[in-house]
Amino acid sequence: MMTEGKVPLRQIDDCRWEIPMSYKKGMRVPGLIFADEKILPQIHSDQSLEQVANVAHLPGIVRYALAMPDIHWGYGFPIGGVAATDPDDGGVISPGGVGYDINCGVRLLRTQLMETDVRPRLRDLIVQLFNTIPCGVGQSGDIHVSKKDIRKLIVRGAGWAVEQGYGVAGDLAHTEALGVLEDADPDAVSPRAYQRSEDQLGTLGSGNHFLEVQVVDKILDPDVARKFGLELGQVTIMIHSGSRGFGYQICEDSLETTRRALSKYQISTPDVQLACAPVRSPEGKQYLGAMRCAANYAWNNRQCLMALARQVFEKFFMRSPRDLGMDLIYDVAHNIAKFERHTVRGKEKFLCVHRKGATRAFPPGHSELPEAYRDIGQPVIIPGDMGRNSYLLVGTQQAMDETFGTSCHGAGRAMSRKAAIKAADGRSIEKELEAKGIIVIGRGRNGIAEEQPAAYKDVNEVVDVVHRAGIARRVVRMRPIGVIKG
Amino acid sequence: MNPIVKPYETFEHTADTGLRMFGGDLRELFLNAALGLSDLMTNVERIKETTSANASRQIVHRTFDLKAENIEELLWLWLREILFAFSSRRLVFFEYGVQALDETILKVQATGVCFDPATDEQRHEVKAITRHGYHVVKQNDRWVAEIIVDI
Repeated sequence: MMTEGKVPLRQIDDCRWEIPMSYKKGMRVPGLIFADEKILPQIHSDQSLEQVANVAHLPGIVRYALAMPDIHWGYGFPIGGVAATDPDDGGVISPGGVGYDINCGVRLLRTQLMETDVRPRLRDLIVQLFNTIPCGVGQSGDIHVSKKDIRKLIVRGAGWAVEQGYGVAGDLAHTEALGVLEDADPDAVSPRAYQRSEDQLGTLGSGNHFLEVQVVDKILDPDVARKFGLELGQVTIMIHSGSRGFGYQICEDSLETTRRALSKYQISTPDVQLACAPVRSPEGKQYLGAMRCAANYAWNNRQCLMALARQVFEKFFMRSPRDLGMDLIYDVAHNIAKFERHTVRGKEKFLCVHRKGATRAFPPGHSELPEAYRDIGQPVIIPGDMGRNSYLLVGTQQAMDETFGTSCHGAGRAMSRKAAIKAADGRSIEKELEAKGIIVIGRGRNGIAEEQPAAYKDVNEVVDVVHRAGIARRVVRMRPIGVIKG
Repeated sequence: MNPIVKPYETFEHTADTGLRMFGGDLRELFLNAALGLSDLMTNVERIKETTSANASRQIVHRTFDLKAENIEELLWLWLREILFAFSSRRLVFFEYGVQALDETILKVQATGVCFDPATDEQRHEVKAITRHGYHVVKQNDRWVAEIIVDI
């Protein structure tokens, strides 16, 4: 069956649709979209499918240009897009395939607290978090890092923050890549990026970044949930942030460098935001060296944000973080490029996997998983909007076989910011959410209206698709009870 | 100079924001572009008002001297400078003295203040000026430029 719409889609099964290579001249591989009939009309409503077809033009792309069910219109790559390239076959690295917020990601902590422990003083707790964790436009953090130390932390990764007292060694084992990408090159980073990094460590930012206090409201796989130490009614904390101005500037610098190098490597892309360079070219290496610095900055940032949240809980409940059981379940990057081994048509290949708004979802038994999760698969953390749910899933062999070990990253926007403000029509989203038992505190004007639940797809539907497609398996569902936004 | 109805407007993009900037001449286009971008981050008019009412608020001057191959490149560089001034030094400008401007050269002295998150309006954190769908055209003697900013 083909669908109506500008971009033709051939249905493969309930959850999979293909953009044939014949759609656009220059496509090297087909597009593969994970979606069902319910989600598809929303995907058709913007230019994201066209962008999937554009990504299929990248030199050295392997198998498919992939799109997750939370796909929406980005610039160059769609958000929710995945592309693996083969450096042995002229494969490229594309800064736009990672995005401006390099290593934007999510971390999930558990606590030993139950909703009944928190509910009576919930507003006070959220106010404390809001007053302690720097968020919003132009806000600087209290963690000052010297120029010398910045160069150290972007090479060392989150281990740097732990050494400074922000967290414990056990946190690193539960962070993707142990919180550090090797071969980060501080000399590949521009002075402007260093300037934009000042005073930004341990700051949340604005836009869709948040810190949420949540409650486990549905157990979907009791055995795995138990291994994560999670039960119904238990309080969790989720943090969503990235590499701040440091990463944005590195992306901008690299887009310019790769754009200027396109003719040198005789690469033509349908969209200038897809500028790229061969992985093994000087431009490709420079971007990778700088991108790794930004990824390491982001892991330090989330590590510091988590340490601040632990401090607030410790003071508020007058119990130690250990006593509160505030352990990191896992931290995932959802804007990143990584070099990974994947089997393609029976052959093992070392590929450059771009995940732009997509989460790694490695299966049980994978060597990169921490000991505690080796037999259950990698935790996949999917935040939803501030009024509905978030999920904890685990990675699968199906994901490894089909999507380079990747799943979705969130609900995905359904409405532009402008449309969301119009839809709010002056209503107080804060009051509406409070009536549902959710305390939301934000800084920016219109910020909460722009981020209201109706602006997003229903995360339950998005997660349903990846679960049914088998590219991640649902374990636990959470609902928010308190949210801080920039 | 042609009367301009509005200096800029925003348009829809699913995750980010589009900015459409107008100008009866190049000078207007460049100044309206800077205003449009700054207004995405804060309220420029309000900052200007509070600064003139508050003698103790320190005024900052910055000179920008930009060269580019064409008008598209020059405007993009200009917006990038405005964003960088805000994101690295929190500078918001509300007055511009244009000293030289054609389609490849811009020399301007900008006057403004350091943004104070405690008192100034916080709107969006702009991550970057993208080139996705970016264009500058002259229609009926009127300049129009469109960009999408990542927020």
